Amino acid sequence: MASVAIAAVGFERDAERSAAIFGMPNLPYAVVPYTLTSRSPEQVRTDVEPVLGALIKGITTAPVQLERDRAGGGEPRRAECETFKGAHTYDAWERMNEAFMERGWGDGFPLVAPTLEKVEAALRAVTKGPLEVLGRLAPENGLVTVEKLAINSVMAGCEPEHLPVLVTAIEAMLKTPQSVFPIRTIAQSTGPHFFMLLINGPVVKKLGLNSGRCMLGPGKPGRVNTVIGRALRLIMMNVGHAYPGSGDMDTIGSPHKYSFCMAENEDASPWMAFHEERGFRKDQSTVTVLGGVDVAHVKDYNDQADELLNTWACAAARPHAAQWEARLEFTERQCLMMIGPDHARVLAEQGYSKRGIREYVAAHSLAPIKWINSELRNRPDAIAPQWRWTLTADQDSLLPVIQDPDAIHMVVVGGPTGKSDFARLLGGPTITTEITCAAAG
Amino acid sequence: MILNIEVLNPKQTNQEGRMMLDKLEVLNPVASTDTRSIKPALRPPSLDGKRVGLYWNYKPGGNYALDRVGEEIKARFKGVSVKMYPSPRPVPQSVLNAVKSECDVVVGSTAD
Repeated sequence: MASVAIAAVGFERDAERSAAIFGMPNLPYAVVPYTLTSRSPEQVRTDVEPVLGALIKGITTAPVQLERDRAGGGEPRRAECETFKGAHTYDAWERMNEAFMERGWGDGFPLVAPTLEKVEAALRAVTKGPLEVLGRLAPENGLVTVEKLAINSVMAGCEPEHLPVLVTAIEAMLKTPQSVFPIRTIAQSTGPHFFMLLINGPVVKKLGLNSGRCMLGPGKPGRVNTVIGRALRLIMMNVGHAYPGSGDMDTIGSPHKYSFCMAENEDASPWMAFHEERGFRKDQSTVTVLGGVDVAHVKDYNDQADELLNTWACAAARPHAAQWEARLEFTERQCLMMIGPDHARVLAEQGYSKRGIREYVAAHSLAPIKWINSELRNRPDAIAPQWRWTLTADQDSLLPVIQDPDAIHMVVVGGPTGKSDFARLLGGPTITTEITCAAAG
Repeated sequence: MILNIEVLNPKQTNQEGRMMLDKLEVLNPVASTDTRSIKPALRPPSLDGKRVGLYWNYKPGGNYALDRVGEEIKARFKGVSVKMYPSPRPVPQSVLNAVKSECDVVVGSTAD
């Protein structure tokens, strides 16, 4: 089908890379001077006027040939070795860091040198071979081999025994449908979305992951969490090619993107653990990946469960921009209650099950319609049909922001005192996956 | 507290029997991407009598841009038909099938 595309200024590289990834490096496109998303209908018509001729030309003349086939793109190969020389090892390491950063391969912090010895040591910690292909990772469909995961884990500062967690996390991401866990959108969106790891089971203590105070860092207590989360970010960049400006079009960016690795504080939880809810035994170790949008703090020293839940409902009542948009393939916006042990204890002591909490918080996550549909009121075509009635309803009447209690996920994390966090998610969690690829010993 | 970190040169470390290199061999962390390309579809020299699809991914504003493109195409060519295809992402197979069977050419907007 002869096609031509309209793209906005600043998105040229994104448009070209995206077209190439889907096999159309020659796809013609015309550039308009503003992103269309925040322009009035009249402004958009003016913006597109100068490129009308180019668009028509794009579908009536043969595209310029830009064949970019590269041999070996689909075949797994062992990683190339590169030598950096310096006056001494430290000097060579600094030169390596400078070169890697210049090429865009780093996250901004100094990288551990992925030497052959360190990478081989990591590979010995998994039962999979270095060239075993796990799939292709969005946004740019990088070929995922175990070796590439190992190299990036070493660069992040991981120990060999951390690699099975990362291999399992990537497997979980690859086997979960985009309609549930939208990897491409989380990685590439203009929003500040970030990948969150959640680890359960005996592996938490075995690896020294922190599930208590200051779990997400910084500092010594959360060191293992930090490097594992960082490795996932480097993997998204160097394996998925989620590089800023092409595979990652984030408008502002977010510190959450550097590293976000949680471990459930199962000892402090009065309920079934996250992985037990999904059918695993307590003695099984699992990884789940979630797509975060943002994290709000939930502070409440209440000792009354009902009052405490109102504070949670307040946190849940902030609408997602455009959460009723028809374009979203993941129709139900989801969220994660990151419940501190004191909040969990108060709620459980006063009889609340996880089910009861979900139902209360969802039912009380009330916001006026005008807040929920604010982005859509002026473009009714874009609102999902089941929500179009809200356009003519009383705009001050209240509706639950979270329609489905099962869109609320819960995990007990952190140290004692009445403080928790509430994370809004993009899509749902990946399929929770057991870590079975750790080599014996 | 002042930390003194002494960087030893290779000769000194060799005398001590430890291996300390003045070079660093590292592995490339970047995965290959699939760069196979599909042969571009043939373009008709004129849109006279053609069926033009306007693919809108529901991104705000894209529909207004496509509307204007559709108007221009209708003004410039004879017997041309224009139809908008609103679509969530990724594109459902039903939309793809409709575009494939109902259109000769497609103009799409990606907005931001």
